[in-house]
Amino acid sequence: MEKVGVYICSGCDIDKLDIERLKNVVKEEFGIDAKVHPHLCSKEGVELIKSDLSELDAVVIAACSPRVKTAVFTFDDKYVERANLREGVVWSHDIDEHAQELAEDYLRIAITKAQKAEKPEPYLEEVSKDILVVGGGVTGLTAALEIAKAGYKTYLVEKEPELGGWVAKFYKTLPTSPPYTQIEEPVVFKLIEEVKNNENIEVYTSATIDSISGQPGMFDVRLIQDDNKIDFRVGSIVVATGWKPYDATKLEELGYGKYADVITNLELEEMAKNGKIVRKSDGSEAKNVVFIQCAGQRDENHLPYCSSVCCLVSLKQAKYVRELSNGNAFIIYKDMRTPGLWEDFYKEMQQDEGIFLTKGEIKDIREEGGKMVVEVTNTLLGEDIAIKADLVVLATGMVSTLKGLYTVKEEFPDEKTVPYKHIAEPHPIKSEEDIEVIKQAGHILNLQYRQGPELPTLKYGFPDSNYICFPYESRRLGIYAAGAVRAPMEIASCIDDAKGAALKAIQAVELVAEGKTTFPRTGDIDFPQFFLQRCTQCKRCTEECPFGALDEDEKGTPMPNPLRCRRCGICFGACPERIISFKTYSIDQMASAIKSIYVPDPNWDEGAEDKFRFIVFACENDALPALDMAALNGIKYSPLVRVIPVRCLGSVNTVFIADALSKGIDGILLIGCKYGEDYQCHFIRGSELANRRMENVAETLERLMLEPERVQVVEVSISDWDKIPEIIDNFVNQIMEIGANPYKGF
Amino acid sequence: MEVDAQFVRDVLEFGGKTLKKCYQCATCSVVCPQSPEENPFPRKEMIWAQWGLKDKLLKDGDIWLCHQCNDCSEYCPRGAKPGEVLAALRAKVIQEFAFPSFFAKILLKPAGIVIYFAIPILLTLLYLAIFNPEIPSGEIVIGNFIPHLHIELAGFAVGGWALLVAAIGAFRFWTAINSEVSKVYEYKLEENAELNVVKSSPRFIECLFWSVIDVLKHSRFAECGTSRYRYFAHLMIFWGFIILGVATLGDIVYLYGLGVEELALPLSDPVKILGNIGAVLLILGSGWAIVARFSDERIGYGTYFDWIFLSTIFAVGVTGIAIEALRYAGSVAAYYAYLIHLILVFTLIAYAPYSKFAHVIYRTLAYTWAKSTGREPKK
Amino acid sequence: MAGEILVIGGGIAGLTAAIEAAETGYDVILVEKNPYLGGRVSQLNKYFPKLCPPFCGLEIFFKRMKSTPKLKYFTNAEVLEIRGEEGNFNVKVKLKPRYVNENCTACGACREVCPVEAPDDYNFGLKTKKAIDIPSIMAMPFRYYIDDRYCNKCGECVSACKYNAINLEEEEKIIDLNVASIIVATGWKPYDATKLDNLGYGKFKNVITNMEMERLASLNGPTGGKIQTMDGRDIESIAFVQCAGSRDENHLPYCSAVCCLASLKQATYVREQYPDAKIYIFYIDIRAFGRYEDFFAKVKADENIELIKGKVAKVEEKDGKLVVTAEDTLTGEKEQREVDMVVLATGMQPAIEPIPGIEVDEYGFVKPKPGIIPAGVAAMPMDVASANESATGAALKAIQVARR
Repeated sequence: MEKVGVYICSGCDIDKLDIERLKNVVKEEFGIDAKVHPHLCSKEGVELIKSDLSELDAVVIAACSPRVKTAVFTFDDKYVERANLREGVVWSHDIDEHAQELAEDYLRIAITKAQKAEKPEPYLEEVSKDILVVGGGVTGLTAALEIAKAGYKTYLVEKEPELGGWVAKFYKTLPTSPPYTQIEEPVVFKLIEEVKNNENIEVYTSATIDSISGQPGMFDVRLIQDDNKIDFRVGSIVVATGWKPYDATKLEELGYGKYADVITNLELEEMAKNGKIVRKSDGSEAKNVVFIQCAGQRDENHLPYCSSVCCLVSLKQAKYVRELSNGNAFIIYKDMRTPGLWEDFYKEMQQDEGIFLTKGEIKDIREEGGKMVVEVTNTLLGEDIAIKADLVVLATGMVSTLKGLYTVKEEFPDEKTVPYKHIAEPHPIKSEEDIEVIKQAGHILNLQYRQGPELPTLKYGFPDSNYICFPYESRRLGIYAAGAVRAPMEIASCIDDAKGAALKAIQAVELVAEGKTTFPRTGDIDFPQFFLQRCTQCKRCTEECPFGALDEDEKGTPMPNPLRCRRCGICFGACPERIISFKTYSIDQMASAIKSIYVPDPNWDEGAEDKFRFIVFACENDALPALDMAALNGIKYSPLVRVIPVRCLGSVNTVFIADALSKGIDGILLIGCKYGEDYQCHFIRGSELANRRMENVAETLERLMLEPERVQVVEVSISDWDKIPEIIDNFVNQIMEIGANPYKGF
Repeated sequence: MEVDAQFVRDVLEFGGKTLKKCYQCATCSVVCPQSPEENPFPRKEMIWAQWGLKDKLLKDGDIWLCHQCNDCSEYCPRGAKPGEVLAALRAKVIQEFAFPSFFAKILLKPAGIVIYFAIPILLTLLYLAIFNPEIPSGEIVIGNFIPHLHIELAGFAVGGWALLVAAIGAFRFWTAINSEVSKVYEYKLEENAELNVVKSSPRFIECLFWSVIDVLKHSRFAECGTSRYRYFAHLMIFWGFIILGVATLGDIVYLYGLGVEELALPLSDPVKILGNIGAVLLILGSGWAIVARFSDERIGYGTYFDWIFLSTIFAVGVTGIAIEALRYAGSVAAYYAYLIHLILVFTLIAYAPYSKFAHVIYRTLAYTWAKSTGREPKK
Repeated sequence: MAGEILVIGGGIAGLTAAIEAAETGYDVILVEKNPYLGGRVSQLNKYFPKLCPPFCGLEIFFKRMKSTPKLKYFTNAEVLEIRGEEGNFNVKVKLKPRYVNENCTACGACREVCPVEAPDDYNFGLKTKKAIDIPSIMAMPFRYYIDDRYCNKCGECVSACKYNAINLEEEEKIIDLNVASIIVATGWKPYDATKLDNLGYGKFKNVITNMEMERLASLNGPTGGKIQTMDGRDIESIAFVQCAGSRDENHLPYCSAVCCLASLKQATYVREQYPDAKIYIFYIDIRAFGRYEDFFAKVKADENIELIKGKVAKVEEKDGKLVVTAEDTLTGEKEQREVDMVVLATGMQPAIEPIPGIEVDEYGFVKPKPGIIPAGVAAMPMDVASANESATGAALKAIQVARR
């Protein structure tokens, strides 16, 4: 940007600084006449800026933190850079010469960034706003219907010949809306009717996806139906492929496979649907039926998680036993899990005099005189009990349909690869052949993404979001999982979940149509651009992108898909050739900003030996707000530190470190979010990557005879505002003890 | 393990209709002022009853330590009303232990009310047919209508029968509750004594003695929180009976000791005074209990089993007083009232081992058992 | 004022619904009765199971709001009445005065001079605030407000404010909105623990609720994040009482869905500050559904945490300590534990006040009807992630109406 205007606010104690000196820095170093206003965010202050706007490309606001008064200091089409003099200087430091110099540097950084920024242009393409729903069970049907009702064309793909999924095979189902008290007829048949009658929905049954390529707004889908290939383009995708039952043959300890009269809850469902609950061994009517909860669930050796629905399902099926056999149903549970309003269902089912419930652990299951005997210990009855039964039903759990598939490369690290810490269950492989073997298990989407063909999973094969606040966070923009594929859930929840995912799918097509990304940088149109002539095909960017945005040609040159991009800048941080940049967040811009920091030269500047200089790269999502909050609480930290916000620690290129150190900066601290299994990093692994890169930097430092301690990475969370100042000060003290950077003044 | 589904239905029918609501949170066991530290009740009784574990419940003395204070029902988060359920269980136990059991089964059903009254009415009619007593004229003297001796003989017969049946029940009950005792404690046998786990020492007579003291004082009943009225009402009924018993003894002393010919005593006579006090206590106590039962549905209305007993007591008291009032008024209706009174007294005594009246024995034995096994609540 | 979608409630569900709908391209108006957005979650220290701070998500929500001009919001605003039908609702909203306008820079000069100390609802009265104060360190809008229940209009703040931001004469306003659909995300309030007369709340000062525990553990709470008894003692032992009011026909008949996990989470707070403290959790069923089971397993592995299956029905005070009693239903023994503090896992009660045009069920949860879509805990008890799912789904239902 050529024409940059600088506005300094002198309110909120900023006037404790020497404003004239600040103006002089702006004038002398940048040739700009800065304007000062005592209350810049007031109407008059804003008017002052607005009256100059026609002359300007960019505006530097030297006032409060960029997190406040954001709307006030937003001007159409103008690039705005904020120099944080309030929270960053006057509220977090004693006002002295050091603070003054800090403020000056913040002005230099801001003006440099503004000057180096370029005008972003959105990536606009002809996009499709049609939406693909994969899976024709209750979740998929609901998603398709709801999307269609919102006016979008929907393709619904089901691999079975009939729509309906598991629910269509059920005798009766749990209630789908409050009050949760009565068992109902499967809702799915009504949904199928509605879907079939909806003009906006195109249904493909007995169809599988051959491949999906492209990016949101431009997903090219190829279906295979009866050996025919069907091609169409969609903008986004809802994955509702549901669940599969846990393999009961693994439950030999519970007698499955050993005794004919030990069956699963699904088998009971089928029996009930056929009208009679019978013993498999002799076909006689089963009168006494024992239900064993957590048959595999909550068990390290089987499914460590709780399947959420099985308590409810067994209560429901106990009712079948009552109604169809006039028998007795015994439910042995670990904890009766009927959360929320489902308590009403528990209460209602409990009322039945033929339903017997106790907590307990199964001690033994055996056959005795033609009957099953279930021995239960740790019961509420004050003693171990042995129940004679005609039939034993195992309440087996739900497994995501993604479990066991080849999802993404990073979940199947080979021997050379160190798995990312955010991957809960890496499945190590030895060779490419292993992958081919795993791929035999089938696929769902078969995405033509360099990083792998399916949605990345979180744990236990569920492609769930790791973020409590953002349950539809997807590492594949435009593709959203819903229903039991995402997490174990009952029908009512599936219906709700389908709506949520449907909205996200609609939102995705609307956003990409305008070239925008989704959160946390929602609405950002700027996207990374690659100067490929200088690419060395090192593949770091394509490997490290957490969102699979970059594909590769045969040589390994990245092929960007801007609409898959979430704008974190991890690729930009990864590139050793510095060929990836955004218009408003570029290598040159950041490097220049770093270089703009005035490092006192011991040869010239008085007192330079005490004026150490440090850079803190602070993640704009957590570390930066935490620093603001420290300032609000009046917690002070070293004024020798210049805080430079970054989109993510993953966007810190090692060149920044090199530039800073060669300029004489004494130490660099990277403050980012927690990484690993419970990661808080908004870009999944940005801070983990920063750590890895800085480990490599440490080696470089040693070669340069610089102490590796000079570059450190710490993880904080937004609520660590009481700790960050201390972390910074400790770092500063540590480096001051080591001594000044010997490269100063070169 | 045999689950007795019929038993569950019986309990539901006997007034434990809230039984299945229990989800075993055990609030009841903690809020119950009567419940001991070890294996407290009524939580375990609730699940035993839900599971139809009849054998366990028959052997369970704890259900008799319950006084239906209803603290449990008040705090029960599910509205399972353990207080009511235990009452139903007690009815069920009485039915099971009574001899002959089938008779108890008939009597305890609301339809049994026909038999309940038919027997004394038929017996009365039979008596009237055989002896054909005439309504005397002149001053109202009950003894002139039906001789005291007849009443006494009938009384002995009915009482003897009741005692015999009760003894069978008591024996069965005592054997049952003692079959399940696993731990025996030394219990220092005085009021509010500390509990000591030392050695086996089931000193029956001592325990019984102190239990009777407890009963007389209603010291356990006094612990009740929510339905504290029950303590007072029960105390009145209880002492009403005792005082009436003493008055009856006085009558016998008058008749056979002092040779008094006729019991048309003046109001100032000490025995008469005693009798009237007893009757008033009986009426007030049972009347209060009746009114209170209507007032709080959260803790329960009670069942036929409760109502027939309570109403009979009330009616006995009322008819007793009515005879007296009519007598003083010089109305011959006194004789008819007397017949009704006799019928009611018969139901009270003859059916005692089958009705709620049996709790006198079961509960006293349970107290004794509790003392001998240390199942006393910590003070 | 016209919009397409109205969202009532600016808690996590309302924010999600409003932002998701706005980012999809619809005009959204959000109204919140408090002077700040963020609702209940802003009072929490951490979320289960990740033990991450709610501020982290709120920061992103607020950032998204700032970049979404389609979303407008009003704080200190109450919906008075809703008329009309799906596609065309007329809504009356009362805007209560904040007395502090946009000029406020949050410099805090007013707070310094304010002479009135008032109980701080945000901290459940565990600390005081000034009559003019900022709702919280993460407040959105980041602006002071005057609590007119306590302000004596002395005018000190007006003189102290350099930016002409305070107007003590500001008056209540009523505005009319015309919208196509309405998302009701009015959330919840903690059940009144004083109604649990056998659990000692209000009677013994060291019996606290789970929400009070959140404030105690929060860095911006009354103790700066240190968990201690109300008389300032360290915690050697603590009892968590599950289902304090929930699953109870005398109080809240439903399960509040989050309290088990919340208590497990709070056990980790205590553990972090007191490595040797004894922690007792009394429960009926531990409802760690789905993947939350992992969290349960992790907490359970702590050998100084004892889980006792049995509901606490009695809390007494003895020699300065609290004694809780429950029957362990697995052993059939009455268990007593002497503790320094008792945390009642009180449940969630729908917070909505009656609004003509909105119907509620027997528990007070909002019933859906054409064009009126409940979201989050206004609809039924649920955890934060589910509330956000629910809110995203509600946004879909709302745009279906709005686009017609």
